[in-house]
Amino acid sequence: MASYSTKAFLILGRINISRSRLQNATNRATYVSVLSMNSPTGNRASCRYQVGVPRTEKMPVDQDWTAVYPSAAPFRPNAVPLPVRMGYPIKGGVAPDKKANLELIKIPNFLHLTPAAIKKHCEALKPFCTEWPLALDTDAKCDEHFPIKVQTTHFVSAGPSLRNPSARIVHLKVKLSSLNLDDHARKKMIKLVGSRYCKKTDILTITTDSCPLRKQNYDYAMYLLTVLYHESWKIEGWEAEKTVADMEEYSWENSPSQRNLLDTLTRMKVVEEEGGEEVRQQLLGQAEVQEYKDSVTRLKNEGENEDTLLQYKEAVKKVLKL
Amino acid sequence: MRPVHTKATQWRRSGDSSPSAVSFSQQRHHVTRVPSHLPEGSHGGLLHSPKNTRLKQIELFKHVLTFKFTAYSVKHFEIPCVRIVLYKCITVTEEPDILFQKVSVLVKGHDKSVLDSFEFFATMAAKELGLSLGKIFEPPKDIERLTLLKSVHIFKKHRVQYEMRTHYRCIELNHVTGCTGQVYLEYIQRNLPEGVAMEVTKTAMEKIPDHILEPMWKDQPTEDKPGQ
Repeated sequence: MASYSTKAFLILGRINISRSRLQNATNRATYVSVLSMNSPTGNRASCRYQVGVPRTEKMPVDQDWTAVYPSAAPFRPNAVPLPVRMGYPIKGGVAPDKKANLELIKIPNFLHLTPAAIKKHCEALKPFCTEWPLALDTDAKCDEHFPIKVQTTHFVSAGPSLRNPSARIVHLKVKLSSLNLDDHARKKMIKLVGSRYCKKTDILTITTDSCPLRKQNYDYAMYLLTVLYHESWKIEGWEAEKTVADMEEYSWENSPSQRNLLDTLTRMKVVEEEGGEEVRQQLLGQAEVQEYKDSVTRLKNEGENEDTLLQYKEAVKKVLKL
Repeated sequence: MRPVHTKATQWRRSGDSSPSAVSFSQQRHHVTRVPSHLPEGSHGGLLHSPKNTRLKQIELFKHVLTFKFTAYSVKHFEIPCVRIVLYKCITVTEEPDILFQKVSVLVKGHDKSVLDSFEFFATMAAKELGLSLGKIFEPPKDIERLTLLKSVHIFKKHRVQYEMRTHYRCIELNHVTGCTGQVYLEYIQRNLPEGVAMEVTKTAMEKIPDHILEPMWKDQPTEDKPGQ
């Protein structure tokens, strides 16, 4: 049993010291500071390692916090000079304090992302950013110059796999008014795409998810758009067989309404029996007949509103001279 | 101390003359190469704007210089000193940048306070980088509930119920360029806390490609053939 002088020495590796001496220090791979062993009673159990002063006591108020927490790290009570408490309060008391508090260690902390740290990071990231062109400040201008919108979703999550199969889906949206289509091509395009076209917003949406990669789906969507565009300009032979039922809009020419009106008007003028065709042409040229035509077309295309019904009523009154 | 260009580092700079082969008896050199970070290429045509927006490529590479050597004596080996020199080059290319009309970041987590903190971080980062923030809102939470038997065997009338709550937070950014978006999203994603998932919905805008401007049948005479 010897008395040692106060010495702090660094030992890396296992310490093999005979049992008669420091029992506490066996089998430890640590930095060991052995303080004075001059205990008068010679009690080996009272050899305690003194815990140093926590770092929070030595922290100046204006320190650089980004040096204390430079990156994401668990909560260290001796490094955070805040009197935080967390957890279920003990009976008649408050939540447990930060020393050895598992709740504070479990929860993700943002101590490495203080406003000062964010500013520093952003200063370093600024050179890699580009500016938005000033000419495209409104949505209308964006739509005018860049009519095609491609929507994709990216996923970030942790789990057994990093991949998400929904990430391959690509939505391509374009307004038909921005494409170079004539009347026939537009109608054919709308018939070809079916439910992918929204009449209210005039937007064609092509959704592709048949390929495994996003890039492939995007290329496929562009290919579909190209094919649709060129096919809609083609005039096939069988398109001549388009019937009235296939028409998208109501047209008054050669419709039962026109025939009925002309029959009625010719019968009203039955006194002067002239050539049938010329009478019909003459009648068609009249302003009231044109008004009637407009009102009927509007009624059929837009549906029954108060406006359309009113217009129809007025037109009928004028035509039949009521 | 003159840096020695070894063959391993030499490939980086094409156009440099190859150095004379230097060989020692006990030569150890290693080069750590950080892969260059290349943003994805663009789709669509050129962007015509008053200020040319360019794509910036980031090349980050390290050179680990080899050891100091004395040509005179090969036998004894001097204490090697290694210097790491960091070269950071931001190259600007003429390739047009992708333009995102809207970038929507949706974060999902089990703890609302973590999402609050993340929202503060993300909004502050966006402001510092000069991004225009759109809406920042909180979609309603989802609760998934399970009802299980309490006991291992029998006791059907006694059950236990668990629930999993998923809170959401959505941050929308308007008018983001491809480079800025990539920088911002990578920064946000690297600092995503544990237990939080993210979905990023990007709406990119493009010009109409050249092959859709005019129909290809215009040059060809229209043939009255029935379609196949």
